[in-house]
Amino acid sequence: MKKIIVMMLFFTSLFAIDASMEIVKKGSFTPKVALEDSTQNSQLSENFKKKFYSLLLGDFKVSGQIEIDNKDGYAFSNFEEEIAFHKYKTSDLLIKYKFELNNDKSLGIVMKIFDINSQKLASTHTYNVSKIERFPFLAHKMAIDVNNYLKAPPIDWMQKFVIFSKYTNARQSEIVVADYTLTYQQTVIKGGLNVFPKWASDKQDAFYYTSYEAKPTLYKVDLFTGKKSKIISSDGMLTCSDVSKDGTKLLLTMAPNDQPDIFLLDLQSMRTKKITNYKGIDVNGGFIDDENRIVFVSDRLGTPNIFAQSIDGGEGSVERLVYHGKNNNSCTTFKNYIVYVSRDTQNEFDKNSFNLYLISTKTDYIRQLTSSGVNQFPKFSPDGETVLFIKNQKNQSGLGIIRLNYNQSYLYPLNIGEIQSIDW
Amino acid sequence: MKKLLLIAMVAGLLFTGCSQKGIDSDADASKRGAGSGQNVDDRLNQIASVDNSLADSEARMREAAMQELQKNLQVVYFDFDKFNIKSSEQPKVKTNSSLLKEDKVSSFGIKVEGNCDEWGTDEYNYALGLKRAKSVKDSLVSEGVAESRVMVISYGESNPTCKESNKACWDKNRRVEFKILP
Repeated sequence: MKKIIVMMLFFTSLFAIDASMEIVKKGSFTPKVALEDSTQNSQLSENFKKKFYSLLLGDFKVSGQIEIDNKDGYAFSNFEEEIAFHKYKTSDLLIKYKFELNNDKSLGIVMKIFDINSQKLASTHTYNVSKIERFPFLAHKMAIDVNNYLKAPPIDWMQKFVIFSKYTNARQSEIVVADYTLTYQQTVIKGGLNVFPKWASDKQDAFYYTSYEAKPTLYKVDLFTGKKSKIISSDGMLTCSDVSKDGTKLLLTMAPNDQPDIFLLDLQSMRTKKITNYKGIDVNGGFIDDENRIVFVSDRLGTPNIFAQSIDGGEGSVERLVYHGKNNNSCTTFKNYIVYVSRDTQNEFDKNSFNLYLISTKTDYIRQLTSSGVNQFPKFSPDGETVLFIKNQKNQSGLGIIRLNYNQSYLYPLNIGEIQSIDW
Repeated sequence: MKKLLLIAMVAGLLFTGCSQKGIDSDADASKRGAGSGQNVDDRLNQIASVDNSLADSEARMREAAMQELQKNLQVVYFDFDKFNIKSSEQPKVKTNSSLLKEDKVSSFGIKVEGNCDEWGTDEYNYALGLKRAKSVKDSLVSEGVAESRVMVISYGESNPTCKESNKACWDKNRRVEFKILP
């Protein structure tokens, strides 16, 4: 009896050892999965079934930890038929699922995981969504559970909501909550100019955003009740760029005297503390080093670049972090790692103008993550293994995903509108 | 028989008296006529008549002055990734200052709006737009426009005047615009 080899990938951990070493090595043994749809419900169209099938295959592929063994594409089989395990000898698992459209219009799905090597039914899972259009979250949950069965590194981030602002017209934008593939989208704020949404915590039950009213104003919104509460207003501009781990402090870019600087807002006392004090541009603050320092973008050397500074302020504590590139105008942080955007070309209007780079604050390591298009607004996932970003290419705005440990990137286009900012 | 006649005569006198009284009341009223009745139009006399034509005229003139000023204020353009006012654009700011200092518009507020092209991440661009607006505000103030009249705001990439992907369009979007506030 073959043993299932549970170590899928052999790689040098980016986060554990020396970040200057090779990041990705694809191992010899990646579990192969055969996928079969057993849905016979005539109320679900063939188009829907195939769309779901593709989405689930996409999730397996993006995980980087599961290989698909479906040579002929979409496959169908009877849910209750006895499994001829010898037909699946090139696979490690057979996944069969069946949809059920309930009387109350909720959508259910039953998934069976068959272990080909041990020739048995390993587990059965049942899932449900109250509205059919939420089907992408069924696919993501199934992929997570198959991944967990294989004891692979977690991919729970797939269930997370992405929140983004998209321009719909001049000085008009909406805030949308979506799954990471943008297949499911729900508008949560509309009317006027609404920008820079930011989750209030990892629980994703509330978010901050800036509304352009008489003055730019920061609001906090309960995702499930829609209740909105005003936090603060500022002349000129106002963004919330980071939230402390305990959710009690915000890093804001404000301009109370027409001068954009980074401030720390203590939500408990509602006191603001000015951190940066430079007469040019200081924006995009992010907490690092156990929230004792911030990383931020500043043009204090003539062009935008990435700096770090003590949270207690003081120009003497400012440290330049990036010595590559001439225009580094956005960044995201995870522990000691920073992903930033750099303008690569001499002529600002050439192709391949803006790319993403990854550096460590502890070493001289630098790694280029993208090589084409206009890549902006990077955001680390909560576990630090994936980077979300906005990609604009050939007049198409879309959401990019980079799986750092697997050196893979994926793009999900936004069909209508242009993404302004994102968070997850 | 005599009693019936007597009753009839009394009834006749009574009714004759009533109608005479009715006739007599009307006649008496008309004799009493002007000056002696209750005036019922006292409140009508107290209604003030407001001549708004002057204020309306002033409002119209104000509106016209606002529109004229708005039409004549020139947009100021900027180089890529810059917020300093380049020398070729300085005359526009000077001309705008002169217009804003004229007596007929000196009570109007001014909103200076900074904008950017699509390049770069939007958070940086909102700050860049703000610095552009601030540069223009500082220049207006140095030319004698009262600082208290001027407010600044940035719209980053959100307010393009054109959407084509070419240099001419990007040049047009890197700008500061002026909005007159009543």
